[in-house]
Amino acid sequence: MVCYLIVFFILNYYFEETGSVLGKKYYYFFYTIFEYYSFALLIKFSIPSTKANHLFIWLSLIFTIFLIFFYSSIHIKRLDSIPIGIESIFIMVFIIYYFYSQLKNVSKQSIYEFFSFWIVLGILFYIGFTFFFNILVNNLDPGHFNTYYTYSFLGDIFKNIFFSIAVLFSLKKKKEPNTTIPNLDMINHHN
Amino acid sequence: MFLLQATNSSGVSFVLLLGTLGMLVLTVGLIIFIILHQRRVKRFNEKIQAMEQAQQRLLLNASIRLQEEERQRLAADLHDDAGPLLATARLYLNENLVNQDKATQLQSIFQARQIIDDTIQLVRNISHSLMPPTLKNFGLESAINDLFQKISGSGAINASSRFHEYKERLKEEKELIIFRVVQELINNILKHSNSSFIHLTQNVHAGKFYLRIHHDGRGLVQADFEKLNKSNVGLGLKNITSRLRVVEGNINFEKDISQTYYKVTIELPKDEPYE
Repeated sequence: MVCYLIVFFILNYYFEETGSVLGKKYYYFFYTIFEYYSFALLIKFSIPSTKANHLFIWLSLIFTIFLIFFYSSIHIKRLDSIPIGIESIFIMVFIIYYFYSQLKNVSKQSIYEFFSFWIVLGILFYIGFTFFFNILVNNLDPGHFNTYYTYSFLGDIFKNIFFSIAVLFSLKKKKEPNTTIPNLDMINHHN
Repeated sequence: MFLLQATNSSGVSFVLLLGTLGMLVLTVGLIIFIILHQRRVKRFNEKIQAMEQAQQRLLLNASIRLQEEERQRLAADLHDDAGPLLATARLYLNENLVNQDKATQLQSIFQARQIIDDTIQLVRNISHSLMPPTLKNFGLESAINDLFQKISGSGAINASSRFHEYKERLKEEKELIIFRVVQELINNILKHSNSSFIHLTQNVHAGKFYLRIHHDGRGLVQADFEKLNKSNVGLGLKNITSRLRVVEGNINFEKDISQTYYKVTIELPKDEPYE
């Protein structure tokens, strides 16, 4: 997750500050594929099942082949809407599978006590905010584009807030003492 | 299709806003649904757990009560039977015996010996009721056959038993538990069923040990058994459940297809052979 945050900070900074990569296929390809694998792997590691592994392998294979085909043959006007749309749908499949597996295995802990829940929630909000913008971005006039482009950062903000909560939960989990072993350090060392 | 057809910018904006709003509503709805569903499932699981704990407590109470009853019976046997017998024997062998004539001495010693023999027999009976020697020495098959022969010998009821595959004995503790369960079932049948016969069969199938008791009197089906197990009555049945739980066994009460007989089937995993 930290790796994802660093790489995307650099990518977004590069995009916003220089603007030289606008319309560059290699940049979109790298951005989309890295985003897909980051999200997919984050969710996959939160689902302890072999079915999730199979799902990840197959969808990733299909998506990678599609991306190579797409970027080698299609001209990009403003943004690579189709790959982003497909990426979002695949990530939604992973999210639904994650929630399905959580519903199946009810533990004593509430779902929001797992840090993976906050990661998935962050991704879900991010997709929720940006999905339609990314799909329709090539059909927007420049005025509307600028307005909605700013609003699309709300998804990033929510995602980062939820990711931060996930980090807090993961740290909290590590700090929790093992309650099953009683504390027997009651020997008086002053004797 | 609507999305693809929306080419003018205000239409696209409208679709974008509506779509994004819809996605967010869906996201929030999904999260709320999952959290509420999980809470409901957790509450349900807690309820089930509480019920299981209550059932465990009932079983534990039943087993403690039964143990106490057994101890009381044992204490009563020793106090009411062995105590007076030994006291009587002591009377015959008092200090004045040496001052009496030889014939009286011999008679007193003979009487005392008779009483001591009776006491030995009594203690042996008590000991046998605690742990049948046939079971200890010859195993479950002999002990059950012995029990059924005694019941049949009384003439009150026709009792028979047949072991089909019992070359490898179960562990001693398991045999004792099964024997106690069978004893309890037979006691119940004799007390409540008014049946004309009891038949026990044993077999092994798919790595499991089975005992089945048939009788033609009034009986229980599984629902009755579970109901009695959850109620405050039916101490013996609770004891059966707790004993079988120790050996990871199951018991099933049912009526025969012909609706003439009642069947009780005990099933338990067959472990390593008796050494």
